[in-house]
This record gives sequence, C-alpha cells and structure tokens, in this order.
Amino acid sequence: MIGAGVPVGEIILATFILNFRHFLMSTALSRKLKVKRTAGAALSYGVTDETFVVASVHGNAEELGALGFFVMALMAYLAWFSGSLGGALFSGLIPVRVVSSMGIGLYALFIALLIPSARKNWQHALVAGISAGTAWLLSAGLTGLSEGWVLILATLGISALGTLLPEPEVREKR
Amino acid sequence: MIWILLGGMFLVTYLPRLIPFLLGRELEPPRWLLKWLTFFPYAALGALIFPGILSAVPGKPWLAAAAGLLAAISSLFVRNIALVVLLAIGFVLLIQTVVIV
Repeated sequence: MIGAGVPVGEIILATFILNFRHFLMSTALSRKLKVKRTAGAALSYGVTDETFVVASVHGNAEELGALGFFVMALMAYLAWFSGSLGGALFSGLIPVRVVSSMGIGLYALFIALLIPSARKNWQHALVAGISAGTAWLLSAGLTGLSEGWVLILATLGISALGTLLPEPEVREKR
Repeated sequence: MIWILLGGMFLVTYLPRLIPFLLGRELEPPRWLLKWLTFFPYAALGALIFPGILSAVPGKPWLAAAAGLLAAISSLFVRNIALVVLLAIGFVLLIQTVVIV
C-alpha cells in the first residue's frame, strides 16, 4: 500500500476497519476462556481469524481453556513467521508466472472463508453481495475514492443495512 | 513516517483484540451495536473480494474472475480452505501456462 502511494492515515484506518472483526472475536472469546485481565492481555495478542474459528467454531473454547488457546495461537504464529521468512528468503527463486498466479490465492482465501457462512446464513450472503456491488460502483471511477475508503464506506454502510434484516431463525434441536 | 505507520498499525491491530479482554464480562454493549458489528466481516469480505479480484491476475480480469468462481464452487464441496486456495492458484497457473493470452 505504501508502494501504491496511499496516505499513512488511510492505511491505518483501513487496517483498523479490517481488524475490527477481532473486537468481536475477542469479545466472544473473553467470555468463554474466563481468564484474568493480565492473562487476557497476553492471550488477546493471539486472536486471529484462524485461531478464533478453530477455538469457537471447530472446537469448544470452554473445554480448550486459556492454556490450550495459548498453545494453539503460538503454533499459528510460528507457522506464519516461518512462512513469511521463507517467502522473503526464497521469493527470488520462484518463476514470474508462478508469482503472478499466486495473486489469486488471497481472494480464494476470502471466498473460502465467506461461502460456508454465507450458505448457512442468507443475511450474511446478502450483506456480502450488496457490499461487493457497492464497492464496485464506488470504485468504478465515478467518485474518485481510493480503495481504502471504498472498503471502509462499504463495510460501515452495508453492515448497518444488515441490522435492518430480520433475525435469523434459530432452529432448536429437540 | 515509517515509525508512525508501524506504531499506528500496532495500535489498530492490537487494541481491538485487547479491549474486550480488559472490559471483562460486566459490560454489555447495546444490542444494535452488537448486531451491526456481526455484519462487519461479511460486508468487508464482500467489498474485499469483488472489485479487487478482477486485478488479481495482471492484465487478465476474466481469468481472475473464473478462478474466483472456481474457488466459490469448490468451497461448497471442499472444507479445507488451503486446498481451495491451492486449487485457484493451480488453475490460474495452468491457464497461464497452457494458453498464452
């Protein structure tokens, strides 16, 4: 983003919006893990999309406990760190065609994260769809807004629209 | 400049994670705010995917869109996210290798 000449304030704001989902995740996890504030401050550093999903969707955060969450977050961090290091050291050895093909990977990741929950919850699917359409319209060159602002406006605006949707029906198991 | 950026990035990355743990369980945010927040990730994902994906493969928006469609369809059947990502990359690589557009 620096390379693209995006102002620093905008990068920080975009990151804030992007990372704000962790506020929700931490809120959910802090209720389940039941740790003291000091331990919570350390654990909160390990809250990522992946660790949150594994702890709360995949498994049971209450059973996992604070120590289990810590170990899992540490493993995720080490894997990320070694992957980044490897990429930085060896990226020169990878052919250009392969590198240009890897750009799609991030979007495939986003799609793979979105589709399962969009399938379970039509409200989520609708919000994501309208938001994509809005972002497209805003970035179509009519407004002159930069990518960061398009993302922020679409996220704030369309998620607000989502609050008007009816609550998802809760199917109770009997 | 770079230090302002690094410091700012640290704050906006860490604080949203930290604050809920510090507030503890006593403070209950209002319902409308919670509901608004639940839609954040989906609205963000939608806006992140759509116009951006068209420029994911330099100069070939249709190939990128096709790979995105492939990722969407395959994620309906494949639970493993890493596999979906590799599939999309493999598809783009294959087309770029086989078809010289």
